[in-house]
Parts: sequence; C-alpha cells; structure tokens
Amino acid sequence: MVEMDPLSQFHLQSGLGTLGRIIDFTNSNQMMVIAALIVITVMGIGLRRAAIVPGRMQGLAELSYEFVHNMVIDTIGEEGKRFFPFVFTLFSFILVGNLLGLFPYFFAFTSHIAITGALAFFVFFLSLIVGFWHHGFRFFKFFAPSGVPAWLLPLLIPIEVVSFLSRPVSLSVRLFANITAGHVMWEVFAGFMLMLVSSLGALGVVAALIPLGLNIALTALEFLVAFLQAYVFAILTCLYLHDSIHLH
Amino acid sequence: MLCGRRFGVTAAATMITGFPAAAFAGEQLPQMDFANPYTSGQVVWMVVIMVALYYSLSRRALPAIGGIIENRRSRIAADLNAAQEAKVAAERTAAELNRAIMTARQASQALIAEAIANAKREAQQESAHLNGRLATELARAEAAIEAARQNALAALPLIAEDVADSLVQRLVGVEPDRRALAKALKSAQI
Repeated sequence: MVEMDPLSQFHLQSGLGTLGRIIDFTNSNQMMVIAALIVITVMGIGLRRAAIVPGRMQGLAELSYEFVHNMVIDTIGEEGKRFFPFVFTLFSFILVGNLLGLFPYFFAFTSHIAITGALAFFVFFLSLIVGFWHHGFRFFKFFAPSGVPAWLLPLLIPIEVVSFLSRPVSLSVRLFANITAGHVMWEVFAGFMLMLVSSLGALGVVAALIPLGLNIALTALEFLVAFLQAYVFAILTCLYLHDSIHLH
Repeated sequence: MLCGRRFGVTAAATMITGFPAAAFAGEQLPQMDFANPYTSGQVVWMVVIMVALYYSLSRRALPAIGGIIENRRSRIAADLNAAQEAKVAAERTAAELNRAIMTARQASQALIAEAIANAKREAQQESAHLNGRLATELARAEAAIEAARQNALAALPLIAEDVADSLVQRLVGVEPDRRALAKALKSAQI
C-alpha cells in the first residue's frame, strides 16, 4: 500500500538519531543547519580568492550581497546599513530553506507556521524597538499620519493600529501558506497518478501523464515561489524598518 | 492508510475547487499540531542556528565581500582617474608639441627671410661694386682711347707733311720748303 497522505511530509520528527532525541533536535532543524551551511559555504567559497575579476562562485556571492544591499539601501535608506546583515541572514536563510524544500524527501522548514511566525514576530518586535529607539513615544504618531483632518482620526487610528498589528500575521501566513500549498499540490497530483495507475491499469498509465505534466509545471512555479516569497519576506522586513525609522 | 488515501482524494478535490488551507484546517495539519513538542521546540534550535548564521555572516563574510566590492570600485575609480590624467597629460604634450612645431616653423621662416634678404643685399653690393669697377675701367679705357686719338690727331700734320713732301718730290722733283709746306697744309686744313 502506498503512503498517500500529502500532509505527512510536514510531520516533525527528531533528527540526528538518539542525540537529536535527547536535545530535541528535529528534522526541520537538520534542514536549517544544512541551509545555513550552504549559505556560509557559498559566501566562503566566493571569498576565498577575493579576485578583482570574480569567478562564478564569487560572482554568486557578490550578486546576492549586492542584491540584498541595494534592496536594504533603496527601501530603508542610508540608515538601513545597520540592518543589512540581518536582512541578508533572513533572506538567504528563507531562500535556501525554500529551495531545499523543493527536493523530494527533504523537509521544507518554511512550511511551518511556527517557524515563519517566529521570524515574522521577530521582525515585528525589531521594527517596534527600532521605532521607539528612534522616536521615543513620538513613534505613536505613526498611527496618526500628519495632514489628516482631525474628525477622521477616530476612524483612522484604529485602522492603522489593526493594520500594524496584522503585519506579523500576514508576513508569517504568506510564507507558510505558499510553501505548504505548493508542497501539498505536488503530493496530491502525485497521488492522483498512483490512483490512476492502480485503478485503471494501462489506461491509467496514459491518463497519469496529465498530473505528471501538471507537477512538472508546478515545479517551475515552485521555484518562482521559493525566490519570490524569500524576496517578499525580506522586502517587507525592509519596509517595516523603513516605517519605524521614517514614520511613513 | 485507507483514511490517508481518502483524505488525499478529498484534499485534492478541495485544492482544485477552493482555497487550499480550507482543506487542511482540521487537526491533521502537522504545522498546527502544537501538542507535538517539536512544533514549538524547533524554533529554539532555529534561533541558535540563525544567531550562528548571523554572526558568521555579519562578522566575517559580509564585511569581506563588501570590502572586495569596495576595493574593486575604488580600483576602477583609480584606473579611470589615471586614464583621465594620462589623457590630460597627453593632450598637454600634444599642445606643447604643436606649439613647438609652430615656433620652429616661424623661426625657420624668419631665418629663410633673413637669408633671402642677406643674399639680395650681398648680390646688390656685389653688382654695385662690379658696376663701379666696370665704370672706372670704361672711363679709363675711354680716356686711353681719347689720348690715343689725340696722339694720332697730333701726328696727322706731320704725316701729311711727309706725304706732301714726297708727293711734291715725285711730281715736281724738287725738295719743297718744309716751312711753306706746313703753312700750305695748315691753310688747307679745315
């Protein structure tokens, strides 16, 4: 009997054998370590020669550096330089996590709401702290933009507060839902193929080509989503930090 | 297993017809299974891993890459600067060369003009000197001719006397009186 539960891929277990069970190290943490090692390796290999004319790996390292650096500077402004290492860590960690999750039998840790939620709430509290650090209690003016007529404020302030508070929720759910939906769709279509073959025989093998084609198309889409969601997470982080520093 | 299979089918149906999260909103979604200690426990290890990643990136990798990029940027800027300076220097040298050629040409033209003027002046002097010499020679020659003529003219009465004397002797056969002869000749001369 074939295992066809499309949700079992998200099931958390302990990783690293017995040691992992003792220290509560999970299979998702395993993938995180691999992702972090990949990021460090790419950056490290890129750095090894430090050539004026970069090779491929150095080009990749420099490209990712400049991509995130430009994103941070363009969105936050010159003050954003301090947050560049943080945004780079966030972006590279999520991106490599998303891409690793695309491999069969690998664990997509960005498909866990606990993970994306922890990241999103960290970003949320960071932007709060940065806002109060820069503006003190005047940071509350963020909820009452200047130039708005006074009679509109009772309506506007609650809206602003709610939209501000919903930021971590939308940030975490967006990433989690995108990755989860993509991975579930893959397994559902793969399950279709197995069902067609097992119930319709030779005809089913031919019919199974349809979900196979869909899965191939879905793979391309998932690559796009992996990049896009990492980018969206990073750019929204930059935007929130911009709001905290510049108050709109 | 059968339950899982049936779930797969219904899930697929919902996936195609509606929002995917609706299909997994139940307890079966492992992400929402907070009874599993790993669900929230994985976050602790993520914090450890991300802090390690953050430190290795922010302390080592990113400043180094930033340094490489900055190094390249300053190198390119310096190269462009050097090229600009070299261009300016080359233009200055070319201008100097042109100026040198110009002054050399002017100097040479002045020299040529001076040489021509000198040559003309010398030729004039030469010809003047020559003309002067020729004029004196001519004058001397003319004077000599005049003197010779005067001599010849002075000798002419004597010759005429002799001729007349010998003519008279031949024709008449007497020796004429020289004094009367000279007188007669003198009166015959116009």
